[in-house]
Amino acid sequence: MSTRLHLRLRQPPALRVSLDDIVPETGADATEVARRPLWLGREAVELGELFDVSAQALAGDATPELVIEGDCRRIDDIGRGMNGGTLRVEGNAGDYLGAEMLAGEIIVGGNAGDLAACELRGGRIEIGGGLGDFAAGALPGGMDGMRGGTLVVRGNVGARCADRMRRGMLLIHGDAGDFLAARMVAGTVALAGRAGAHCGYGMRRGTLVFAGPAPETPPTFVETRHDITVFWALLRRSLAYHGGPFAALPARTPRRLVGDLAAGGKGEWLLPQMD
Amino acid sequence: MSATETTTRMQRNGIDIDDTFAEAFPMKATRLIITAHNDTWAQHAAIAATGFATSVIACGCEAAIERPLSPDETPDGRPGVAVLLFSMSGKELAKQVERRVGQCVLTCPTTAVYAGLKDGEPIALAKNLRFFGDGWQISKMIDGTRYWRVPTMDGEFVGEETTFVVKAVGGGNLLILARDTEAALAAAEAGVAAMRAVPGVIMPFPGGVVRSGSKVGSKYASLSASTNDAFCPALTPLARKTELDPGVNCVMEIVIDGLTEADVSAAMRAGMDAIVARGAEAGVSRLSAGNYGGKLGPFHFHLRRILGGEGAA
Amino acid sequence: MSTIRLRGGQVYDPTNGIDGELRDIGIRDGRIVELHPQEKVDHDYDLAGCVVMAGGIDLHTHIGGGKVNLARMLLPEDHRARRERDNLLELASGGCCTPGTLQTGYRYAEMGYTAAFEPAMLAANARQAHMEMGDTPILDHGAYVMLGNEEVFLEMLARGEDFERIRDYVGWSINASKAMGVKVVNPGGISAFKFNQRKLDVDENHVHWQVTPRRVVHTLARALRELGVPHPLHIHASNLGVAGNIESTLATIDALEGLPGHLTHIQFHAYGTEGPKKFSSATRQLIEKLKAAPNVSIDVGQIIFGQTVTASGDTMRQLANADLGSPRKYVGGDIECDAGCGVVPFRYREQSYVNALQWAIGLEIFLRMDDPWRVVLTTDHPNGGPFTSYPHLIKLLMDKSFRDEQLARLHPDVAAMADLREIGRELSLYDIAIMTRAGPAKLLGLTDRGQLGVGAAADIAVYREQADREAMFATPEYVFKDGTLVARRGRLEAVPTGGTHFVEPDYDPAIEKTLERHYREHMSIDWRHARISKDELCSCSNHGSLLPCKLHGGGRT
Repeated sequence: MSTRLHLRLRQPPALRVSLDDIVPETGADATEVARRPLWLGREAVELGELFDVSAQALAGDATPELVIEGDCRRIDDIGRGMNGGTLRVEGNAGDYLGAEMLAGEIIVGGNAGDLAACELRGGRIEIGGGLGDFAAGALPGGMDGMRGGTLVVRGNVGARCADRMRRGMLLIHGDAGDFLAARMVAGTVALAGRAGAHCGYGMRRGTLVFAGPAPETPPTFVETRHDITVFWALLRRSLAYHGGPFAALPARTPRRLVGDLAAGGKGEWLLPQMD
Repeated sequence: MSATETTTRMQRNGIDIDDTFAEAFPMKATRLIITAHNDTWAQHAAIAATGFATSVIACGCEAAIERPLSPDETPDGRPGVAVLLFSMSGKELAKQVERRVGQCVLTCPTTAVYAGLKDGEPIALAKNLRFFGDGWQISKMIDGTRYWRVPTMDGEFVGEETTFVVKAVGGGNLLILARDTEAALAAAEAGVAAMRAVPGVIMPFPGGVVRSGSKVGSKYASLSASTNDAFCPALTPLARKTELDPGVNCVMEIVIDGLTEADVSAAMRAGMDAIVARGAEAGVSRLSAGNYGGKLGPFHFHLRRILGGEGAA
Repeated sequence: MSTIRLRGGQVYDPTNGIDGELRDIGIRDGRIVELHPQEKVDHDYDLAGCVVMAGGIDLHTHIGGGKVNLARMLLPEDHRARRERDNLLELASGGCCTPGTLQTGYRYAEMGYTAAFEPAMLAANARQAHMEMGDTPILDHGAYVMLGNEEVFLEMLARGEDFERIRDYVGWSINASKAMGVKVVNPGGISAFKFNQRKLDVDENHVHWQVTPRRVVHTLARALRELGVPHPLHIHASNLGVAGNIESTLATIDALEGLPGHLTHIQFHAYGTEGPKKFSSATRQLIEKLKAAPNVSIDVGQIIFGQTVTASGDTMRQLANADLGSPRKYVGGDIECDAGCGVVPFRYREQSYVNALQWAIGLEIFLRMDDPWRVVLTTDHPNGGPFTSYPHLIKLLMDKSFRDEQLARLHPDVAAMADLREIGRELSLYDIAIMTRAGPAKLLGLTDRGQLGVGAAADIAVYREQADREAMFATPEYVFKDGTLVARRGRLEAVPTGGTHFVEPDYDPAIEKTLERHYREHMSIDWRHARISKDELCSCSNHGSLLPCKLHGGGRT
């Protein structure tokens, strides 16, 4: 039987707490979940000491849900490695939100911390607010960042977003910090706001779409002037699905830059707003 | 022996419908969507890619245009054409797809190619054609589908990485027995036109019509098929067995390949309806079908059942 | 004063010729003693159905020093896997092929090992190495100082300095770095690499110093013999991993001219060039040579399939291997122009012809070598595989059917052709006790370790007899370190600090003048800091006991 599990944070903990391994699951039992151990610094505490836990039965074949309420800025690893179900955070989330996630959906109403969606493999994450640094990047030592799935951010993202990204789609409605899509291997990043310095630094392949103002062309990017109507039509259709500033990108072939020439130059920037 | 002599007659609009069936075979098929800058170039690519594909006996596959597609029906919003390709095995089909798309679509100005089916056994579409890009090719995943972008002199060729192969039905047919050439051709054309409106089928012969209907075997050991003497008016007085009545001086056949049994059946029905609607006055006296006694192919399309109802009209 | 009686275990103590006899073993204050059968003891363990051996000794495992840390930094992902923190004795530490110091100690002790030796300590990096090993709990430890590629040595050799001077330099180096022995890595080759040579055969001249690896090996081996250092020269021979390197390996054995030498991770040096892939096993040639050279001992460096990292002082070979890395990362380094280092993560794959053959070659060497006292069980942790795979390796050696099962899964050409198929030998528990305890103790000159005779240190591993040798050796019933119960059925019971083994050969201090000048002119380290004193060693090694090793023949006369 499917369940909707509610965790309500009583008050922000004094220390950071990892909520790893707490994911939407069928047949979750509130009493059992409340007894699961969490580490508060060096101290093991029961989940129930930090959260009010309740569960609600859903129709048998419904997707299991997990709802986390309260100011969870200090709660890390929410939805980390998740492999299905729906997770909603009504408020803010800590670091590593949805890291290494395989499938399912995470919806965060507020902001999330650093390293959100890093090494994301599949599924969909939507952030109502903004993200800290290293979003959609690689975990320390990882050779690839985000490698599948979709990440939609309604607000701004910090520095090093999509570092070493390999696959998947990332849409940022707000602004991005420095080094957006640096060392990108492949995948698609669409940005509606402004990009910080060193955007696309060392990118090898992949696509950056600037739905809003175009950044200055770095010296290691050059323009190509061929007809990419077909590809643009395919990509534009996919972007439009996510609405907002991406809903009405012009149909004419956008200006296209390739780079980073220092890293092979097979990455591309598409600048639909530019003439 | 003619079926009409042993059972009750069924006549529609003065045309005799034989109590017989078309015998068809399992095949493997895929649908491709070819788009281009405009209709003309999409047609050029599609015609070339489905050329010399009348019969698996020597062409490797049977292929034809299924129908033109309007811009709002294609993945990239440009005019396009849907083509269907049929082969006896998935492996042979894969080979044919790669050759035909490589030589006739990749080469054709402004075209792009997509899988026209979303389920089935995957085979390479642009997967190996990408190497034409000599390292400059770019892969792109969009919403779970991988495309290859290969730089070409007109810009870039975009092709979906894989297409999908499904089980299909090949060899549905309809024999039109008529007074003379004029009448047979006109009826065949009308039949093919009606069948083309049915989704999921192609009529792979030139203009959808074949005049060299065949039987299994030959007096020559090296040939596996030879002329269908029972339906050749030239041989009415000579052949050991004839299916033709006096007054039938020209026979045409329409061969139909379809993605499903129901598609083939629907096409045969549409074709027959169109011919029947023209009436016996137009010169067609009988409709029949080719089979091998029902032992070779698992699909049997009974003309009378398809038309619905037994007995005379 | 605490006394322990281990009652009725089946004892394998090759040093004392005991092969599976049922015996009692008494322990008092960390030493093995004779206990009167009636004597009351503090702890009495009934070991019916158990096998008793001395604690394991790994004489070649990279557990401390510069490149181990580089490997850890290169592979942070290796430390990500979390382990349930259910034992308060264990502090947070992780890693599999690049374990942290704590993890190293915990996991070694858990499988019955009580001593481990770092084979590649740079003189310039000795402090760090001792500190890391000191931070490694439970295990006794020691290290071999890397010589044979540093400027001062090659220069002395090149200008024809008296052998005695060079011997004094070696003696000083061992003392200064508080080493247990000397290792030479790609003799002269690491230095040659810096002069743009990418290969150096045993009789090929270093382009600058005009010195051959043969001279380097012979000089160092002779120096150690004369200094009375018990552990023979630890030799990582030329051309590691290169097809056809059996030639260099045999030439290196010849270069010893009968002097003691220990050829390490020999599996990586036993390749021929036969067959369609020009890569073949040269085990037969190697074993023949070893039978005729009783002065030479080996450890194997068995490879184990899966993810690991190769960390070596052999910059020359590691640069060549960098492109084969998986994940594709690489670090190369150098300290004080005295040696080098290269770290390449590697994944040994069953379906790789080369890897499969390497696996077979390693096992062939173990099984073909007739004198177990001269073969030590190693994977050259982490180069061939992490040390935690030893129980698996033991099962491969003791169980022919298990071995065949594994072989059948490998690259078809290897599975069908390897000589290994025809080797029916299964090692006995006695053989294993030699290769993992008694043998290495003897090769290191540790007289009171690796054995269970009266007076020996009470480093003891007790295994529950099981048909599945992997399970048996992975989780000993009890492990004692100096008489303290440190692990019980895979769970740590105590975390004492291990001791440091080192040797103090005598040498003529006149050499220090030359070295002082060299330090002043060429080194970044102050001469006054070049030497680690005993007091400093004590604090470096976490105040563990200092275990100076007896010299052979009382040292130089």
